[in-house]
Amino acid sequence: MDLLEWVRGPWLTWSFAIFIVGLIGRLAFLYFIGHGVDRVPPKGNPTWGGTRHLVAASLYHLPNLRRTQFTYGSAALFHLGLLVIVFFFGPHLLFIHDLTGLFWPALPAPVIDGVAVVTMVTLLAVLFHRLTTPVLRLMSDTNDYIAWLLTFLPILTGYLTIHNLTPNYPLTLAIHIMSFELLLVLLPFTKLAHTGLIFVSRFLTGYEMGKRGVGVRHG
Amino acid sequence: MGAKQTVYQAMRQAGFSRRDFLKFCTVTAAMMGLSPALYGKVAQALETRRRPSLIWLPFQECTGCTESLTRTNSPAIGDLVLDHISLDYSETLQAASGHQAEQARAAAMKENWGQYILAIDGSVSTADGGIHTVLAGRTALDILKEAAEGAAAVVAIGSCASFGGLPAASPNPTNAKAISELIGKPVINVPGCPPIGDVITGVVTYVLTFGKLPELDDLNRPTAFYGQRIHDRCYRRPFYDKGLFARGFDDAGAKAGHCLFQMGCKGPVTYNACATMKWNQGTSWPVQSGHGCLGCSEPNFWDNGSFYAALSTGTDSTFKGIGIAAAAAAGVAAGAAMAFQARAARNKAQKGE
Amino acid sequence: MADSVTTAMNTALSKVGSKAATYLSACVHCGVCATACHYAQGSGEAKHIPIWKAELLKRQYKRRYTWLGKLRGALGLIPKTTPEMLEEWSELVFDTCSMCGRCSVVCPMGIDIPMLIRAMREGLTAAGIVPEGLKEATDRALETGSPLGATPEVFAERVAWMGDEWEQAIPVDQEGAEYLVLFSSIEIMKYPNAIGATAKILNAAGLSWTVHSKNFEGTNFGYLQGSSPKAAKMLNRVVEAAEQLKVKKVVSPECGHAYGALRWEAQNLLARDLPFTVVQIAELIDVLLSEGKIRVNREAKGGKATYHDPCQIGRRGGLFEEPRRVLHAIVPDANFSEMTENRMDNWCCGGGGGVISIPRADELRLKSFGMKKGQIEQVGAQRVVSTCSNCRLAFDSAFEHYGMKTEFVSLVELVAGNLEK
Repeated sequence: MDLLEWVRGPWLTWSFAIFIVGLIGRLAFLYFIGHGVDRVPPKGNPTWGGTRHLVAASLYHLPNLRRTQFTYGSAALFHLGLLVIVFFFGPHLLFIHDLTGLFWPALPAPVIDGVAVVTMVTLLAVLFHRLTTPVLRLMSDTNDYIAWLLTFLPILTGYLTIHNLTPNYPLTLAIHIMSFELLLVLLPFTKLAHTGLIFVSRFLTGYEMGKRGVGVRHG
Repeated sequence: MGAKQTVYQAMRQAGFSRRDFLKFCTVTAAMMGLSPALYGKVAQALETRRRPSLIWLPFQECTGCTESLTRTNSPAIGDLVLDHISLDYSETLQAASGHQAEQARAAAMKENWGQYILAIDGSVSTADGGIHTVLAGRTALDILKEAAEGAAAVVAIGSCASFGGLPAASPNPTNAKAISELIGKPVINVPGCPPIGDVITGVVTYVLTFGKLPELDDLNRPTAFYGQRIHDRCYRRPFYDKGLFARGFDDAGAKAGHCLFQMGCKGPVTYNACATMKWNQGTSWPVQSGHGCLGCSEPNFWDNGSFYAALSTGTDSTFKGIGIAAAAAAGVAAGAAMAFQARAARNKAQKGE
Repeated sequence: MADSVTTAMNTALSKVGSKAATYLSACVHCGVCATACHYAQGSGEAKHIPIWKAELLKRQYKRRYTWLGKLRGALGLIPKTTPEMLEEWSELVFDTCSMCGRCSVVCPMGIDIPMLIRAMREGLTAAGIVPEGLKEATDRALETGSPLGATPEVFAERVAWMGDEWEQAIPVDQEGAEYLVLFSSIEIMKYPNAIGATAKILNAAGLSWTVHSKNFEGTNFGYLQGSSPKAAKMLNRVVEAAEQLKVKKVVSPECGHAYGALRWEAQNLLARDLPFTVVQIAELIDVLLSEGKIRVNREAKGGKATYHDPCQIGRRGGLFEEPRRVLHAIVPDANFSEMTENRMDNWCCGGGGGVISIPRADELRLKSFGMKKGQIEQVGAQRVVSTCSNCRLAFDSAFEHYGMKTEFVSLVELVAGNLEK
């Protein structure tokens, strides 16, 4: 078996396995630590508050926007960019179809191309911002930089692959798939786990807000 | 068979004019991707070089490569190559058989020792001392080693000879191997299952003309024919770029000629000339006929996952269905275990430890 | 005797259950919380970013709860807590945080940072590393019932004085009354008119109410210090009084965290259900107005007014519209201007969470008021109406520092002054 077939075969299986064990494990862990009984009578609807906050926390905090232009703007850009690349590029769609049976129309490759470039440039800007902003420099650790790399590499290698920019196409394709597998394997153990944790933390805080009958937008 | 003649002399003798000869040289040179400046060189070589001898050895093959060879683009070229170089041994094509044929081969090899071109199709079985492929009482391995020693150039025709092919596919019961794995000399691989006829003749003609190996890639395939990916020359590429795929062999997409990526086309990872030269005198090729490329000119294409699984899908099916459920269950168990340890840590913290 | 680091970190960690663990894991280091924090914006210092205040707890959690954290800790990749760090973080957690919750509102991951600050405070309090001022106030409150020395004698004296001054009957220790009214020591000691004004309103509404002669305190310095046992002890005083007098409702005064502790935490801190409901005074006045039990006059004149949402009453308490309805019944719309960034987005006065009791924190607190100052100046308000006496202290202190002519108006006093005869 050559590299590409290892990568498409057992490595993919194991990467997914570790990803699922890791992420579900982490969520289960948080659940099983346990919490006390809540005796406080609510004013509003806590469950609705929790559910609403899942989306509301993403909404631009307009009053604060001036101070957070770059953070929100760049975050929205690269998250959307990732979404478009992963879920609207033909071959990726077929991968998802193979896994889940779902399928939907793809976007043309040149569009994905443009999105990939924008996303990579945004990620570079984000890195620069993290390295030069005092508040972020104080807090940032290896975890942050590894997470950045894990996010950047699949896009970069994908771009190189689709443009056939390297002498050996099958090897480049294999490296691209490997970068995705690396992302899968390490995701649960880095801050990229926020893909799963975000639902829990937002819900919990939204729950408390809903209990008090308030929401992000005044209640 | 007049082995001392030049190709030019042989052609003239067969009734071709000088004009026909020059036309042949031009076409051949163009096919090999040579610049017009070199056309004259081809003519000169064929005019002055002695008609070489070609020994063709078939081993674990299906004869598809030889069949492909006989359906070349221009019968004139095919004729010339076959008739006017000494095809001193070709089981399929020659009239002789049995001991008579073997004697002819031995004689040709002896007479042209060190100068003949050795073309091989089919892989060579090596299990149990090579006993699974035996010709005239000798193992193929044995015949190969002897023939290779006296060859000026070795050309592996077809995927079986180039990479092991079908006989070497899992589980490979005869321990079949590619030619290049068994001899020390450089081997020109002309893979494909089968290769395009014109590609075979083109490579052989090059060797005959220039007496040296053409430019080869890292898998020892002539870059003139194997330097481009199918994907980069495929006429359906715009559909790939637009994300329009045939979802079945008879659906609207298929009828509209959309990209066959989902139907398993291995075009992106396959290097061959099918998309440009096509097959059967330029009639068609798999994708044009509505079937995805099998990747048959690449090593191990039989074992590289289903022909009908898209290149961007996983080939291992265990992680679907029960795999995911099992992993999730394992995750819950691991998470719970870690949580109970954390609770113990919290209890200790509460007690001030 | 365990050392301070062990005590502090153990106590803090013992508060980490599913919720806190989720929050500690969820931070993606985006830095947005700093843009919403008045201290961080006021000082411009990186270390004042809200989530950094919980950093010691984060490290402890990783080192002791998670497998990967244990491994990294063993490899020396997670810094260990030192006594110096405890001192540094004590300042971060007590001086530079009012637990206002503005950071949680903007956090894209929805992390409740004040909850983590509470846990940190719990640990530091257990190790005794609490700033001057806050420490003394809490001790005093534990011993005497009031952080500011409002003993039962002082309270009785104030009640008598205000009853006289306002010509109002103020029931004391009335068993079977419907409402038990609490007051904050800040009101008792510094703004005693609150007592008279409250009495006037409740009497005009014809309510059956009372105060308790001993357990009259609404503030909860145990809660501010972040000590669950102390907070519970102080809450129990209120519960005892309410149960003793068999009241149905407890009225929380114009004090932010008093309402927060009573309404939103009591049952969980005391691990029991309570036989009474809790209502904040402005909330009660809103009900009385809507039921027609009292009527107010529209004021004929008065300076341009705006409303300040006390963090623990609005954002963390759930009362945005109730105080506003009361206010709009009195102040004509033309004379009222809403500050931009109001309600959930309102900027904290900087004095909550015990900060105002810490002299060491004065400079930063006043700097942080810059956000509020900007808001007030933007609407050109001459009066800031609100319903928290702690905010009142902070506003008054800042107005003086900045030489502002603006006046802080208590909503209760505004109502009492405009009651229809």
